[in-house]
Amino acid sequence: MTAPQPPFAPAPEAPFGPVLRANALTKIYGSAPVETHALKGVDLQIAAGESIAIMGHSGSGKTTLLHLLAGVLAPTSGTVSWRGRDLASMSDADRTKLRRSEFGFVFQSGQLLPELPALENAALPLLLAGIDRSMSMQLAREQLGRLGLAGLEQRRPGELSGGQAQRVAIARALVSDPEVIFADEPTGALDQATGWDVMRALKESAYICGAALVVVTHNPEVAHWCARTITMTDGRISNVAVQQPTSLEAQLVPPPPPAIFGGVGGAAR
Amino acid sequence: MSATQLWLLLRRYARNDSSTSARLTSVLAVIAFAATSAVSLVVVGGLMAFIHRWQDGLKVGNNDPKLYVMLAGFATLLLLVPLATLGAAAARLSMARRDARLAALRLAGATSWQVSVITLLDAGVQAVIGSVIGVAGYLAVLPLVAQLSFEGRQLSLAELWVGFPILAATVLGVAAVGVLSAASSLQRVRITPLGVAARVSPPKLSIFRLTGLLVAAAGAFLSVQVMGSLVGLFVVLVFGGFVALGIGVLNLIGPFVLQIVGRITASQARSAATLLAGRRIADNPKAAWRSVGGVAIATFIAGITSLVGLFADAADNEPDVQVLMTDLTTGGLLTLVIAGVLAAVSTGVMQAGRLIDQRQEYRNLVLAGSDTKTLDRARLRETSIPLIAALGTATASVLVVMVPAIGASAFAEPTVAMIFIASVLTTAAMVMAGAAATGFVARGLTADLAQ
Repeated sequence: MTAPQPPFAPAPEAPFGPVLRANALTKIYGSAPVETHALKGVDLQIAAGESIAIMGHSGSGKTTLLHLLAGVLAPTSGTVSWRGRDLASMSDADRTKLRRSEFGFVFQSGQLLPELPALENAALPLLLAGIDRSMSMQLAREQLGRLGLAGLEQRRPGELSGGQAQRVAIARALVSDPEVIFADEPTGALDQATGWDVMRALKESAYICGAALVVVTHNPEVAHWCARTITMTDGRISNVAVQQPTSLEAQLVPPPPPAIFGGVGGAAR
Repeated sequence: MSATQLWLLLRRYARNDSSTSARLTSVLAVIAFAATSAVSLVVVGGLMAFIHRWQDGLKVGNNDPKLYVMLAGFATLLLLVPLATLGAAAARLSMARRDARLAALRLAGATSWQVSVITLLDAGVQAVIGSVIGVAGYLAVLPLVAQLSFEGRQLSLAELWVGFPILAATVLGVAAVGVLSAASSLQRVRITPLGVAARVSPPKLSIFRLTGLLVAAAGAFLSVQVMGSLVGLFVVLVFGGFVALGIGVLNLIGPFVLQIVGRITASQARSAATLLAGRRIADNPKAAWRSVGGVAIATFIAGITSLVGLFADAADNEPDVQVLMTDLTTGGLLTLVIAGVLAAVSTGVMQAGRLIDQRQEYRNLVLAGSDTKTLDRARLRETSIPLIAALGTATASVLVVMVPAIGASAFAEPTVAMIFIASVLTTAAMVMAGAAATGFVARGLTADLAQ
């Protein structure tokens, strides 16, 4: 069975400069004599609003690269800079704040807290950032609605299907209006059709709020949604493929006015 | 390969296993088993001290030493519930990480017999190591307990020493608790390895629900033995009946009150920490009550003994009665502090167990930029909110029951009230410290993310 093709092509390369830039990144785990060289010199630039798939076999270094780009891990050598600022020069608290307000994360599983209903799960990043409760809930409700989850706000994660739960996770990643969304195997736990739906929702939502999308995957069909696919082999980028946008791109609704997102994470922009 | 050989092989690999949560789980289970046995031995030691005094015919004034044995026995029975709770928490924790591994073994073709043996050996070894450490802990705190004075005389080390047979019996008893709990959890694995792998095990009612029956039977037996007469038994039954009624009512309304408190907290929450705490309490009020129920009951008892002491102070100046009443107050507060220690350990163990169960969610929250301090605050609130509710309910119950009986004189002596309040606050501080200690576990789960 062939996978359904995305109805629209990836977003065109944004006309802005890179927001996230990685230079000569290396990462070594452990210490001699049992060192693991996870990354061996990676250069990468991510422009505002663009989408990148990072592919590769297990152990090729793709998740390590994602963690370095997101400031979760520090490189052994090399730099990652966000809007010209070296992440290593920031305090841990500032990096945490950056992840909370400028980045959004979607994981394969285990991201929704079982005790919280969908609405509160989606609103969590805003509450954690100290945003007023009613404002947080309103933004989360709107985000859930956009992802086709209206009416399911009070359901617990255990009462949602895998695809619905992943959409709640996408709503949560988007609720603080991030500039970059990092997704680590976002469809890894889903069947093909549900995975396709979830990728469409992720791509559409990122496009609408103008966020860059960085997807780690081993699945070429998932990578197909992104404008650029880089392939990692043994800690290095071994291939870069660029997809041309198609006419279907035009079917996408234009981004809404920024008023909805303005007051939250985007306020600093 | 025999099941025992398979177990030894897995143990050898487990030693090299760098998985933080696996190591933490074992350490926590051992700590919980150690606390269970140390506190059990201290409590039994105290009971035996009074039995020795009674048998040796030692007494001060005209107070009946049998009464002291009765009261100490009563306190021991009261502490059985939090002790059993802690033992069960330890056993549950030692099972926490095992479900997935056992299911994987079953799927790989291990027989249910092999899986059973591996589980029981694991649980038994943790329980034995824990209880041996607990014996050392008992020996270490004996000099401290020997500072206490009852019947006008300081307790001696010799009086508090339980003897080797009881030491051995405690180690075996705690091991049996570990093994039996593991065996009861195994039922699920044996029937449906796939179900366990998918984490769909139905909620199980604990075997420790039988504790109430055991407490009643042991209480009746002790009454007849010590009082030696039906009149004594009658007095004990009436008094015990009232207290049991109070405890029963507390246990009945406790989870209900906590559920309401949790819901209100969640609906009114302005911060993520309070929202999480409220939702967790409302989601499982029984679990929240399990951590603080023992303290609530001990607070209730200590409140009553304090007020009874006060009543006697006001009414009677006879030295014998004074000694008895002082001892009663001391005993009540001592029970409260011991219950506090147990609650502190079981709160820490239960929260750590949940953290380990939800480690992926926790890691992802930290990855996504959640402040670990906020998550710490949520965990502390999850303990402090039920704790305040429980202590408040218990103290209010004491006032409701005792003030009409004693009247305004209850407020005549502020020292008694202050000592009681100080003890309650100390207990609360210990429980909060138990909850705060889980911060180490939380750091451990994200240690590899710290660069």
